[in-house]
Amino acid sequence: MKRKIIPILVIVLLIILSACGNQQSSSNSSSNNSNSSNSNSNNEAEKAEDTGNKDDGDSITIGAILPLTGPGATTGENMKMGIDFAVEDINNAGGVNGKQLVVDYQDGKGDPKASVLAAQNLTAKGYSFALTTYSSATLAILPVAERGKMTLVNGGAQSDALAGASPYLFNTIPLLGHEVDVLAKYAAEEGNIKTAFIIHNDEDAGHSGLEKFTEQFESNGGKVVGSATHRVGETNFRSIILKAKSSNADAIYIASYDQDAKMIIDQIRELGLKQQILVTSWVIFEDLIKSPNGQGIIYSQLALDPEKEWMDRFSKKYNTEMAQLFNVTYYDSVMVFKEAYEYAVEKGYGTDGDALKKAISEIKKFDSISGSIEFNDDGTSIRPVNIAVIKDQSTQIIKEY
Amino acid sequence: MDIFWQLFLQGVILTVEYALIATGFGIIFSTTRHFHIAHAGVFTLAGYTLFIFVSLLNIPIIGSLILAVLIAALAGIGVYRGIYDQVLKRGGTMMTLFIAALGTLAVIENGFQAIFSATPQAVESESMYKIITIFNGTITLAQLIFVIVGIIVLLGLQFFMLKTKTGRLIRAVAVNPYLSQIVGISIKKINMICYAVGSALVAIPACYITIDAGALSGRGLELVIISMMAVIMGGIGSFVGGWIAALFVGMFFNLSVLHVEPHWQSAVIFVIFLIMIMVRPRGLFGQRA
Repeated sequence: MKRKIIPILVIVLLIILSACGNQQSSSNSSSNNSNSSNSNSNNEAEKAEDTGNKDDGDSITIGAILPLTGPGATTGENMKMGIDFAVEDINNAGGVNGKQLVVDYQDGKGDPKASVLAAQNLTAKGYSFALTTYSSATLAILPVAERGKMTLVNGGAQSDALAGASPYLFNTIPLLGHEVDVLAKYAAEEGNIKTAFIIHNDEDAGHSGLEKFTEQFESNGGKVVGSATHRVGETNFRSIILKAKSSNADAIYIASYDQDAKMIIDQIRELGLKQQILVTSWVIFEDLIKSPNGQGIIYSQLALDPEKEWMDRFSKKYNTEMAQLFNVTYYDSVMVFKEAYEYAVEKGYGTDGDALKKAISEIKKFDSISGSIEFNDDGTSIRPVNIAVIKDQSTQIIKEY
Repeated sequence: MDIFWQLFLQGVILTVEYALIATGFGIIFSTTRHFHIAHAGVFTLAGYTLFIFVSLLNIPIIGSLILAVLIAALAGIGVYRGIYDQVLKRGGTMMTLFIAALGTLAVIENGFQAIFSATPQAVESESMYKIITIFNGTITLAQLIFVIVGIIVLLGLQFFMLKTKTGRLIRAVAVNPYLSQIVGISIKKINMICYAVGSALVAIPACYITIDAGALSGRGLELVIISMMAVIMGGIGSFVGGWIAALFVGMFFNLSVLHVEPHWQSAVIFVIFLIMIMVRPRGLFGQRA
C-alpha cells in the first residue's frame, strides 16, 4: 500500500500544475477569440494586422488592453465606450494628422498573464501606443512596453505602485491613494465612523486600498479593526464577511473590483449586516446604483464633470443618462494620444514610443472634456474628488473636497 | 456566539458541496481506479446546462435542475465510454487515461469559455435568493434547499450501496474486479452506473453554485481538487470517511477565518493533508490492501 503514496502525490501535484497551465492556455485562446468577436473593432483591427505596422499611410493604429471578458468585463465595456467615442470624434474631425485612427482591442481579462501576452502581440505588430488598465496587469506589461518602446496610458488602474513605475507610463486617472485619502478623511471626520473593517482583493490595487485607508483613517482618529483579502473572481465571500461582522466595525471599506464588489455587497446584505459600506469610484456602476443593496453606500467620486455638449452627444449615442468615470478617463486618454502624436510630428521627434513619451512629458498639461489633465513627473495626474452617496437609485454629492 | 453559528451554517453548506463532489469522485475512483479529473469538467457542464435551460430556454427551474443532473450523468457515461474506454481498449495505461482525462477537462473548460466568454453567466431566480433566518443566522433559500437535497441524496446513496443488489455489485467490483468478472458481473455496466451516479452527484453543487454566483469555466476545479483530497483523506472506498474529511475541510474554511488569514487557508489545509497521508497513507477509514 505504501507504494501507492508516491503516484498519488505525483498526480495531485500534476493536477495543481495542470490547473495553472490550463488557466494560461484558456486565457490565451480566448484572447485570440475575443479579438475576432469584437465586432466594433474587428474590421479596423484586421486592417491594422494586415500591414503589421502602426502607421500604414492612411491610418494610425493604437492598441488597447482591456478586460473584455471575465469579472472585469463591465469595467472594460465602459472603457471601450469612451475609446470608441473618442475615435469617432477624432475621425469625424479629420483624424490624427489627417490619418484615420483605429484601435486594436486585446482582451487582457484584467489578468497579468493574459495582458502580457496581449502586450507582446501589440509590440510585435510595431505599435507605439497602447491604452491599459488594472494595476497588476499594467505593472506586468511595463517591461514588455519598455522593451518594445510602447508608450502606455492608463485611465483605470489606481494602485499607488503605478506612480513612477516607468517613464513609458502615464495615468489619466488619479491613483487610489488620492481618492482613499479623501474617503478615509470624510469617514473619520464627518461620517461619524470610529472603526472600520477592510475587505480587499489580493491585487496591487487592493493592497494599496488597505494601506492608504488604514494610514489616513487612523491619522484622523479612526481605527481599522481588521481586514480580509480575497482572490479576484471568487464566488463565496461569506466567511470573510462574517469575519467583518464579528469585528463590530462601524463601516466596511471594500477595495475590490466591479463584479466581486457587487457580489460582496449582495452577500453583506444577505447575511444581515447593517454596517455602512464605503467604496471608491471602482464599483460605482449603473446596476449597483439601481440595486436595492446599493442604496446608502458612501463613495469617493472623482469629480469628472464632462462638458454639456459632450455629455449630450454621449447620452444620445449610448442611450444613457450619465457618463461613467471610465467613459471620461478613456476618452481623455485617446485625446492625449492625438495631441502628443501631432506634437511629436510637428517637433520632428518621429512617431515611435520614445517620441510620444517625450511629447507627453513636454506638453504636460492637456485639455480634457472635464477640466484639464496635468501630468506630474512620475506619470500621475491629480483631479478633484467628491464624496457622494447612492440614494433613491441615483447618486448625490454630499461633500466636495 | 452569533458569528460562530453563522460561520457554522456556511460551513455546513460548504461541507455538503465537498461531500457530494467527493462521494461522486470516490464512487468512480474506488470502482474503476480511473483518476477522473474531468469530474471538474462535468461540474462546468452541469452549471452551463442549467444556465442554458433556465435563462435561454426559459424552462422552469425545477425542470431545469432535473435535466441538468440527467445530462451530467449522461456526460459522465459519455466520457467513460467515448474516451476512457477507448484509451484502455487500445492498450493505454492508467497514466495515458489520466492524460486523456486532463485533455477532456481542458476541452470542456475552454469550449464553454469560448462560447460563453469568461464572464459568469447568472441564472436569475429571485425566489431562490429569499433570505431565511435560522436562530439569528441567515441563509438563502437556494442554500437551504441545496443542503437538504444534498443530505438526502448522500444518505440515499449510502442506503443504495449497502442494501440494493446493484450497490453490492459495485462494492464487489471495487474490492476485486477480477474475481467479480469471473463470477459473471459485467464490469462495463457497473462502471457505467458509477460514472452516471458520480456525475449526477457533482451536478448538484454545480447547479447550486450556478444559482448562487453564475456559471463559469474553471469554477469547479478547486472544489474538485479539494474534494479529491477529502476522498484520499477519508480513505478510498469509504463514503463516511470522505464525508468526515469533507466536514473537516468545510468547517476549517469557515471557522478558521477568524484566526487564519483567508489567503493562507488553502495552503494550511494542504499541509495538513500532506502530513496526514504521510502518517496514514490509506486515509482515515481506508481498508488495508
